[in-house]
Amino acid sequence: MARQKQPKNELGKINLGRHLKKEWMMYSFLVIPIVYYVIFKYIPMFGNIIAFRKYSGGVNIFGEKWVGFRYFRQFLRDPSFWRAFRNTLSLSVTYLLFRFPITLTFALLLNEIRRAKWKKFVQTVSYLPHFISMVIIAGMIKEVVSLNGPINAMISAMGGEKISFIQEASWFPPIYIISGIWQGLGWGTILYLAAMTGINTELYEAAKVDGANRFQQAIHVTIPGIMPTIVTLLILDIGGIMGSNFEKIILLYLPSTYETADVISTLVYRMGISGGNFSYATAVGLFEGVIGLILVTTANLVSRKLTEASLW
Amino acid sequence: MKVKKMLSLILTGAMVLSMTACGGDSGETASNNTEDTNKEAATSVGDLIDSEVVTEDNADELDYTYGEGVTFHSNEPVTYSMMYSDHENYPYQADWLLWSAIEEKTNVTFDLTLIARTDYEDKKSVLINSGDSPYIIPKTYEEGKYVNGGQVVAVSDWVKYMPNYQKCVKDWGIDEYLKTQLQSDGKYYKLPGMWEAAGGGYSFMIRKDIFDAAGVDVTELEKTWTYEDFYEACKKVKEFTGCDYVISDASKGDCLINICAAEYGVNAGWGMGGGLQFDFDNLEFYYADTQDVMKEYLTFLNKMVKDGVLDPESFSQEDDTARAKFFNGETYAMTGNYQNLADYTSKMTDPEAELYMVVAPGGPAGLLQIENSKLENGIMIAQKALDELGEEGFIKMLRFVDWLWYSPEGQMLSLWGVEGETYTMDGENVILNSDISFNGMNPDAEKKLNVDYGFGGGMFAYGGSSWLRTSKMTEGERSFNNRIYEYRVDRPLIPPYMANEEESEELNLISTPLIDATKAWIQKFITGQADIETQWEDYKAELESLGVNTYVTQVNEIFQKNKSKLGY
Amino acid sequence: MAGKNADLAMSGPKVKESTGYKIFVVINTIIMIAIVFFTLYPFVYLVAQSFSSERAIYAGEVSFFPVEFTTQTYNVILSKPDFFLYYKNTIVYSVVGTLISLFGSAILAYPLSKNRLVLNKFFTPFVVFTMFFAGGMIPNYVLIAQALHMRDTMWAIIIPGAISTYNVLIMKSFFAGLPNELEEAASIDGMNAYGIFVKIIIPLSKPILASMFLFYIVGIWNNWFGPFLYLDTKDKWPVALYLRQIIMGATGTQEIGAGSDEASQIAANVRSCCMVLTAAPIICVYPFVQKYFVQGMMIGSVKG
Repeated sequence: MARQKQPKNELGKINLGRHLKKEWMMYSFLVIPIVYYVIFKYIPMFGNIIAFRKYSGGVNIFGEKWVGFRYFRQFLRDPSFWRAFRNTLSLSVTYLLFRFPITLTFALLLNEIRRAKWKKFVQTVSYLPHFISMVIIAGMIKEVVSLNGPINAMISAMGGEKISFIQEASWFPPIYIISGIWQGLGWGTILYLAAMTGINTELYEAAKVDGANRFQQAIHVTIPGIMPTIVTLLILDIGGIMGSNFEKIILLYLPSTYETADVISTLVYRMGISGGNFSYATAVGLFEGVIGLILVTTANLVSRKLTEASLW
Repeated sequence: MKVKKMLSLILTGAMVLSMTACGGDSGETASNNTEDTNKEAATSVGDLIDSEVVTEDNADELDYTYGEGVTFHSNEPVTYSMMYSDHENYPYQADWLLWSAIEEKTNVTFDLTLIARTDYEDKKSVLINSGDSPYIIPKTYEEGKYVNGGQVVAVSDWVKYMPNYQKCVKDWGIDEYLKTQLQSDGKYYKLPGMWEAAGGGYSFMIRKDIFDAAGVDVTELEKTWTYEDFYEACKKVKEFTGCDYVISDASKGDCLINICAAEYGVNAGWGMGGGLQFDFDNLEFYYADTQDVMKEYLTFLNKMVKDGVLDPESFSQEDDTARAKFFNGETYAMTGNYQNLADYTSKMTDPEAELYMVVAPGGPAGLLQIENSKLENGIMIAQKALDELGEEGFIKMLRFVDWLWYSPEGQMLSLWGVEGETYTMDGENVILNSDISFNGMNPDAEKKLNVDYGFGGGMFAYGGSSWLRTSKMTEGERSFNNRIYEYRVDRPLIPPYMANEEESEELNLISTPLIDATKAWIQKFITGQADIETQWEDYKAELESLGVNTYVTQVNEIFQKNKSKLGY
Repeated sequence: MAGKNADLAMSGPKVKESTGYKIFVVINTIIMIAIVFFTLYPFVYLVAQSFSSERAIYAGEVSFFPVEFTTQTYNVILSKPDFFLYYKNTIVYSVVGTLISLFGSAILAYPLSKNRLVLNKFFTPFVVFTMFFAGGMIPNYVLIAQALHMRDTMWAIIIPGAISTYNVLIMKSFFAGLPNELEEAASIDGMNAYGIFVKIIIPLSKPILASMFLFYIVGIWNNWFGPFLYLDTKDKWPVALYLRQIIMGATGTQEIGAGSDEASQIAANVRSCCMVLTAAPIICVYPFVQKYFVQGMMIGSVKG
């Protein structure tokens, strides 16, 4: 991440030949990865051509004939697509808004723990949910919010009426977000903590000499110290807004909660993969990708302007 | 690589020539008949579902034996590739007696692509669509989406080479059922498993001890009861036990609302399909779930929920949770099929618990059997097999399939194993060796027929004569089946409308959101999140805005175009 | 590193702590205890289930401790030779795969982190682009299984997903944050780029390499999709695929038309037992890797 401001190199202004001669060794690191990207990422991408062609299965993976934007028109006309689009955005954005500050706070709080063993214990424990497959997580979520589960037990103990959370569309977003935070809380702090190790202890010493208390140290030393990591993760998250946790949603949603739970990936699954309509699925996938790319580029640009930190 | 392909092409060509030269006669006459499709149902169906068998006069030149009552045996050892759906309860073993028994009898071995049962459909889709499928693709429920890709063979063109298959079709009256499999080109692409008689299917499994104690005599009631009677019976149980709910079902409620829908003549749950029912008087399709009877159906199920008979969690909980409630005696009925009975009985917490499969109640549509097809899942054959084996080799493989899946000998082997080693015959009865358990027989035996030997598994052992089917039933299951046949009448089969690829794509675009919306409303109505009296019109309006009328019109147009093929 | 900071703070001249700070420590501890409890409970429950009898589980009697304690379930599973075979496969795939992934990601992230390499203006977007557009399942399958002949081999699982762009970007930002002075000094001493990478960058990057190690190994350990797609023979299965088969077979909603013989269930205790056995090794590996987070190696190296 370009944290330090460096004199900007413009491609046109330098002698490429001399540059390559000087830096060929550095570029040589890239040979294997670039070959890898070409073979495993770019070549299969040509398959996306079926978004514009009619594909009905079979050996000709590039489809039978050109149909132009037919599949795009199809989904843009489809009200269920727009519902899924809205749900995707609102689920991801709300999730991000809650998760981001909570994870960061947790990382800072962890960093404040003085007893190394206790801290290590909390950390280790908080990573656990990340190791568990989504199938099990989804099962546990359903147990917790079920009519006989602990939450409803509390509600009825307080004299309230039991709620069938999993069946009510209005409850899907909170369930999705809270369980997501539960599962990702510890894991999300790893990179922050790793970044915190990189902060020069002398900065803390200096702050202490200036009379800063722990809270002020966190604000003035720790947070600026891990700012590049924060920004990187934020940009990546913004880029990922169009994606949602497909596996989790497909395990948790019900026809009666489609209204708030059906997202693009689950719609594509029902519309496309299960029905064998790969062209339609690919068209929606391309659309999703374009939006994601626009989002991440914008976020990167804004961040470069505001904080001098950017992904590229 | 290229040389090999060329060679196989040349070979194929040569074989095609030799085939037509020696024995294609009867095949040709059979296919000619398709031309003069007629008004008369019987004959035109007969034409379409070709039950002729081709016999070659060069049988002694073949390097294998086959035929009705003849064991398929290849002189040279052959290997066929096949997809295999691996079941977690009896995981694949290379040293099963099943494999060696097949090899010994037929000289055939399999080259298996092993796939976990739960992922079978997805991997099948990838393998077929990438043109990399094994030759034999068993356990297929839904073949429609593979038809257009050209990767699976239109088996209806080839069944004439399968004597055992054709015998089943003819003897058991399967043609009517095969009709439902026809695609828009008038061919079918799947060799279905076939039963001599339709089976028992799903119904309610109840705690007979509790129902009896509550003063409900189910054995008398079930003969003619309707869902309203069933409701009254459950109410009595509820009053007697004071339970929260009498039924808390598994399968996200899809099983229960399906078997109930069948008796109301509507579609829901597993039976949702395209949401259509067929009007046999006017020969046209209609959208069942907007009819007045649907309102009746929803009101009934809503009453079940409202009055504490049916747990609203039935629509969201995991199957495990539903079963746990039943096992612990919190609930007293749930849906299932007969094979669950033994397993569930063993898991009941209350040792006094007595489980009983009732005949499912009837409804406004009559006292109908739930299961209305004699067909099971089936086998697709990859185009690759025809390409690589050549026509002659391909027919040889089909005849092997014919023997293993459709001959009494093959079916016996798949289900019961090897006589003398796993079972013995006592006149008409199959006696399983006492040290082997299966399907509730010899429950304490050390070995299991499917786990330790590979027989009686879901890959090979389905379909067959009524004798074979009942041979593995316990007394109770046999009685359950007989009660159904006695108390219930056949449910008519809905004909296919045989849309072609373009038409299906158009229809899909309307039907997917339409079905989604219908399902969502059904669930809301039943659980009481939506009110049937006040919101019924909203529901209909939403479906109309999603194009339900266009959908039905289009389907009927397609059907009008194709109906002559079906003999209407 | 925090552990070290704490030590420093304590060993240094005692700064008088405000009451506010003390209250904070108490609240912080309470929050942490709550987090630990809520995170841990499902696992305690899982372990308790795995040691309980099937009857007790169905009766809903298990909450914190095993009911009708039994090790029978573990005995049954561990006595199956297959389970160890799958385990061995998983270990092989995880170790080989993680090493390849770490290597690939590091050699990509390192040059990308250098702003002076002007061609990065092309390479970075080239890499980032792949996060948003991917080929469908079918083209991937055709490429990997057919064109590259990796069907039914370990490589089909490891290679196609070896480099995660997400992880590369994170490593890149880490490398970019490393102090330039050491590299410059080494360069002046005549060390070439390879030498700098191996002798200076890698040792400096232990925290990020350890994080990446965990990221990758957890990914491969839990990956069932690749193996499902590309492996055709069961003796190559990793344990994740086996676990999925067991869990999906039992908790998944029974499907329409599921044949008679499909109906019986794998018992709940067998499932929880499998889950425990699968998650345990990763959980055991973790503390060893975590060590690198807390050693503050970088700080020492920069200072020295």
